[in-house]
Amino acid sequence: MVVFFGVLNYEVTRDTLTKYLGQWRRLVGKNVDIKLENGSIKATMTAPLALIMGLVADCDHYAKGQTAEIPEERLSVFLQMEQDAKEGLRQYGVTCEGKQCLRIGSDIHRKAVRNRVEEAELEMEGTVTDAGGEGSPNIHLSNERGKYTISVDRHFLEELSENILYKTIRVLVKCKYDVVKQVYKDYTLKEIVDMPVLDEQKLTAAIKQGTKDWQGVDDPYEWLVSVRGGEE
Amino acid sequence: MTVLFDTCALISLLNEKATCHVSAEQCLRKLAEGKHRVMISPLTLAEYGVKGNLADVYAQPFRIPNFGVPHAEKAAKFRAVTCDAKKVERKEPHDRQFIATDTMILAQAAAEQVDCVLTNDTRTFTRTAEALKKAGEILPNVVLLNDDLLYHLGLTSQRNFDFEK
Repeated sequence: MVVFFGVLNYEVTRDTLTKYLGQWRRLVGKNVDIKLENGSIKATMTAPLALIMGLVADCDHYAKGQTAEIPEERLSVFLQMEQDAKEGLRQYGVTCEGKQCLRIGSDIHRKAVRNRVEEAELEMEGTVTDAGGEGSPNIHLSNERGKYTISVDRHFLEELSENILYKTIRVLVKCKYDVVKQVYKDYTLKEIVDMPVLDEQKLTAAIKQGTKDWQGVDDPYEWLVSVRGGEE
Repeated sequence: MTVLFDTCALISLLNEKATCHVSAEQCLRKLAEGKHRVMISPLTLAEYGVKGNLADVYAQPFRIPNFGVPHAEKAAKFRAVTCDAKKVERKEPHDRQFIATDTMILAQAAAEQVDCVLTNDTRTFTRTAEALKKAGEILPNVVLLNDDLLYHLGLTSQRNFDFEK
């Protein structure tokens, strides 16, 4: 049995109780019955073991600041409780079989981060193992890090002048960067990137010019130390 | 394989008089020959451009990815680690433990999924990488521009031992 509780520093109103129940219901889903205990701001929930274990695990993740592991809906409830606790000097808690899983209060300072994604660009290289798709055209790119599905424009595949299947290509993709999990996802092809070629003449000219520019700097590290600001 | 040249490695590459110039040049040639990806950070441009000609850098087969949100997020995480490590590891009051630019270049390399970072900085850069690895961060290999460089990068199977030492 899981018990949710709230501690208030003012008189409990019907609205407050409704808000509590609403929040708790969002933690466990609509189909789970939550009963408010008589004369208290406690509610009890009896639910399938898997659901209780999931909730207890998420409480534990939240307590440790591992917010990336928590489903978005449940995390937003925890964050709302955190906000309410700070504003109203309240406390919230979840206990399971008499053991406290989580306590949220204005006296507890956690660095809770909401999951968010940012736009990013990434260059990838790999072998094209598949290309096509009727509804959502894509290419499958495989390399030593894994297999990636990259969305492409249908015209891109139609207008390819050569067959890219089973060939190694380098691509620039737009993607989403999950800031909390620090992973890239949802790749969309921006362009195929040409493999850069070393130009001997340009390298020789650059070394000639560089040797002139860096005259007296035989140890680049020493020079860098002199130009870089202080340490962190 | 993706290899990032840090600022020391880039200066060594383009300055014939630099101590590790031969290693750096040999390495670039081998990487280009094997069609490996070679990268530098825009932070390196900001340092190289102080004395050197950036047009010469752009003429080389380097990819220069923008320093964006993923890199900044990673850099913040890394700097939190180095700030903590500094508190316990400082031996001398004026000893430079970690430098912000090193941390940011390593963060960009990690976010760009680089395999190796080339440097001849045996001090702050390698120290930063060690502190981050100790804290459990996943980092590219930091490889020094020495005679065994090609072996370490897997571009040759023969080690270049110096038997006279």
